[in-house]
Amino acid sequence: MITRYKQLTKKYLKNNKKRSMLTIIGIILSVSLISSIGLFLKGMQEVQIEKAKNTYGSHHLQYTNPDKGLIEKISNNPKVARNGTFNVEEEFTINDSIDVREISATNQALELLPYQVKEGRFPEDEGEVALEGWLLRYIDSNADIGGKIEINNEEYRLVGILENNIMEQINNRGNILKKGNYSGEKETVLLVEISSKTNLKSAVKELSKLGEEDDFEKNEALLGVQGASERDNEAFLGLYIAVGVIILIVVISTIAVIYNSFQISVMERIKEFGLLRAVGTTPKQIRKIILREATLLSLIGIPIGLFFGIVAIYSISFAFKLIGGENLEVFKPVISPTILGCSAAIGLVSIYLSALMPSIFASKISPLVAISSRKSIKKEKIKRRKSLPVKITGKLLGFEGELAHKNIKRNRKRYRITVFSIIISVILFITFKSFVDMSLTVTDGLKESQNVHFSITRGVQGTSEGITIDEDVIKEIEDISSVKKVYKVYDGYEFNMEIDKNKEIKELQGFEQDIYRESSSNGKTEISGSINIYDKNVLDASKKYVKSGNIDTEELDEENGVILIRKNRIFNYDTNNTYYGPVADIKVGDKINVSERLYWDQDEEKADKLGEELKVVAIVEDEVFSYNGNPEGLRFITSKNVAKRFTKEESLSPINLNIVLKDIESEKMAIAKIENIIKENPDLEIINHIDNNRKNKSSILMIQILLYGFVVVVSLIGSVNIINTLTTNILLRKREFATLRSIGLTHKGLRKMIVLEGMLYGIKGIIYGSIIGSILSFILAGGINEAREFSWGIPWSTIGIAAIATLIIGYLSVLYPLARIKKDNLIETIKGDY
Amino acid sequence: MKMEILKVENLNKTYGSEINKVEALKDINLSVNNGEFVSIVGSSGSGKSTLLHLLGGLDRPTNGKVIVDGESIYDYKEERLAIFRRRKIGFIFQFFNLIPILNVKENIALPALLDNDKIDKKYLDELIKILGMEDRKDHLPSELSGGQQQRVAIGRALFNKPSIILADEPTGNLDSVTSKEVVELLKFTAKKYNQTLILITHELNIASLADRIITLKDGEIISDKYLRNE
Repeated sequence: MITRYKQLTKKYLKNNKKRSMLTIIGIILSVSLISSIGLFLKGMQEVQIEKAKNTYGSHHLQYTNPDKGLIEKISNNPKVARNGTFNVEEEFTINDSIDVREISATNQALELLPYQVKEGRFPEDEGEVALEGWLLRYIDSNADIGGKIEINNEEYRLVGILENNIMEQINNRGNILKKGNYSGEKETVLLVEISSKTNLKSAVKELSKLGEEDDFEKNEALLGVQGASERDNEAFLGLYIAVGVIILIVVISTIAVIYNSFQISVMERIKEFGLLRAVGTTPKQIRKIILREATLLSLIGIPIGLFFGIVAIYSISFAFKLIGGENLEVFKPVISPTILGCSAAIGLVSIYLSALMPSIFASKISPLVAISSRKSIKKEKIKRRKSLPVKITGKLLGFEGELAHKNIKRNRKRYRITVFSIIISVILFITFKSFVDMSLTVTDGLKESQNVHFSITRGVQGTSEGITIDEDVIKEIEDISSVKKVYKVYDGYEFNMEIDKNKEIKELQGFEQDIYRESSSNGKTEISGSINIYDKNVLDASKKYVKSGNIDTEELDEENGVILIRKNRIFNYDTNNTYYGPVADIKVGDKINVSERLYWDQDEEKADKLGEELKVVAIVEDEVFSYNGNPEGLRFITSKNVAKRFTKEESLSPINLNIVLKDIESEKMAIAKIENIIKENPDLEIINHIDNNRKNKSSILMIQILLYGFVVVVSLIGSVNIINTLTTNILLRKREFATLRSIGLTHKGLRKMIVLEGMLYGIKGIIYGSIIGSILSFILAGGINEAREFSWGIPWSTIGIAAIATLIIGYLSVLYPLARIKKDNLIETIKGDY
Repeated sequence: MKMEILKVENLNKTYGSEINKVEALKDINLSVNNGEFVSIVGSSGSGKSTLLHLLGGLDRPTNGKVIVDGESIYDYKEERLAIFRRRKIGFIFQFFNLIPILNVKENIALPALLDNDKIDKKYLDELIKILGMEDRKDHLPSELSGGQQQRVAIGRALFNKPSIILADEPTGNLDSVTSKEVVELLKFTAKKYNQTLILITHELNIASLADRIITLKDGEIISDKYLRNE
């Protein structure tokens, strides 16, 4: 027996297991989503911090030439975790190119410097050294840990091998670590790490006052990723806003689910609350009963949600390791109590927010409600007029259809709640799905380039000398058995071109960089333009990307034909947005006058008059291979013969080669053969794209997993909402359905009516949701910084998926209550409320 | 010892406004003594239910006063009014209105639960015995017959030892034998615990069990007769 009125809450929840479960599932989904987003970002930060520590050191601050007093002050400051001094004892050069520093440091300084022990340990005594692996190879490749090693004519004991510090390695600087104490003789640096228990920002401020301005330096790289930099805050602002928006969306969908669930459960018990009020329950007590329901559900849902959040983050980490391998570490799963606490708090607040309104509603229920059992009919104001849509559904779907349509319209509140919940779900799905689709198309710009396995390029030296690749070399590479294709890449050539005024794009006219210029001659618009040469192989490979027109090599040669790359990326300096779309309104068949050829001759820009005309024979959406030309002008592709006419050059030779293999398995073999071919020409370098592409492809896959995972969870939350509302919608009216059946409506007819009702709700929700969702997706499209997609299209396919999914969910969710109704005894249902 | 427990002064209740204004009660004046058993009769729409709701603090009058134990209850805010109902009034409704998820014992003890009081187990057992529900005290409302449900509702109304029991057609849903039993039970307990019992009915044989019969018509008292004076 219950002994306190508050225990009513538990009873209610237990009696409504199904809905309580649904509500809890909603809570679990959103809390786990919020916490996994948080943990993911935290994990990313963790990786960044580790990288910063490995490259720049674990210290936050450093003081040059500190006096004894300062060292004393620092070591006694409770906000300091670790501190230590080091000095550079000696510098010398080995192998003519590597600068080696002998660093003598105290124990804690050794830990704070950006060197990690790979094998062995840090030096602890004088005469012991540790150094980087790559440097060791130059000094004594046979040295073992524990053994003797001679450095700069002195003998030491090697106690540790350090991880390579990439930054130093690139700069050809090696470090040898030795143990030493503060002497104050040479230039000494004091490194300070601030304790994690104190506020980093204020500690930095406080400690920075101790040092002279010239002798004091912050480790900005580390402070930046730890969020305590004064400078970098703006860079994080965008991230914060994005995370805020995402969490807001999750919170809104959570509130929608829980609000619905509570509102429905209150409406269902309106009579009971009325009765409780009649026997003297105060409004406050009623509110308490409902808010306690919220508390109980939170107590169950939130911990499980946090648990799933952690599970999710480890699964993502596992999946990422499978995809990207060890070297592509995007984030490190951490269980951060702060993040979990915040997620729980956000969850709790949104649960209370959503339970508040229904609880206030319930507390205002009049006690009279309990007395009159006619309430449910009296209270509903049913419109008597037969509206046109009702008539139409009636005609189309028979009496049951007409009833269904009347039913959904008869109770405004219920109608609104149901349609609102469907709208929210549809909006969330459409907005996010289209957002994800948009951002993914942006990341995947270069199409054919991703299939290239190796490139041969000119080195820095070769580029400045303007060397080209000989036909013999190309022939030799083509002859390698595992090579499938060799694409020749030529230099890009720049021109001034003329287009009609009406071909200008309005949006670009205001850009600061004068994309359109007044032409000197004939009132036309002058615009920059460039031509890249594709050989037959490349043109063939481009064919599948053609949007309009077609590529015919002979036609190109005969008619000065060119292929236009339609979309350019142009940065707008005024708005800091990137325009992504056509630079001029050019169609297949348009003829464009090329007025000048631009080129550099001994550091001087030259312009030769030209009077040729070229004809656009085909248009591709995006660059198929990386393009070499001014992105703020027209970009054309053409054949070598046409290019010769425009450049007036006798011979055009490729500067780069792109190589496609028959089989990636032969990567190693092929690379050895190609290296052998080009080794006589020291200016040529080989780039292995297989590796880069692998990384690129896996990053894209990772982003897809993350974003679609998010969409899936958000849609699940939405589905819970729909199931919840539709199910209870029907169960609330059991008595009415029983009456209908008693006067002769068959179960089949009832089923038809209820299913139609669910469908009608769904259709209304889909219509409104699609409209709002599309508008939001349009706004988001404008907001994507990198991609100002000019031609935003209504996301029809997404709307289609949403519509079908909603109808299916709508259908499935009425099946369960229908089955329950079928089981019920007719007479009992009509008679009683129990 | 007779003393006035309930007093009604110029009570008016109107529904709607202007054109479709309905005057449910017109200037009702009434006084009820401690321990009285009053029946209110009248045809449907005469205003008897409205009067009972106003006596029990369930609704608010358009104007006029209801004074219970010397306190004018409509001066109270909703929170206080609810507590008044809980402690001073016991309601019995036509449709029993039990909480479906609570068993017999819990339904009876509900008013005390709302006060966060310790439940007087002895009193609860006594009540259950008087009601004749000993072998069904752990049943849920759905497992009881109509008469049994109404007995539980009586138990609930009595549990906080209110000074006034208000019964709105308590027998309206019961057969004649059960009806008689229920009213006798009410009469018995009202006597036993020295409570005032006000009962609405349209069945004359039920009404005639009372000490006093008040007849309403179109919102006005048209007769107020004492059948017996003890």
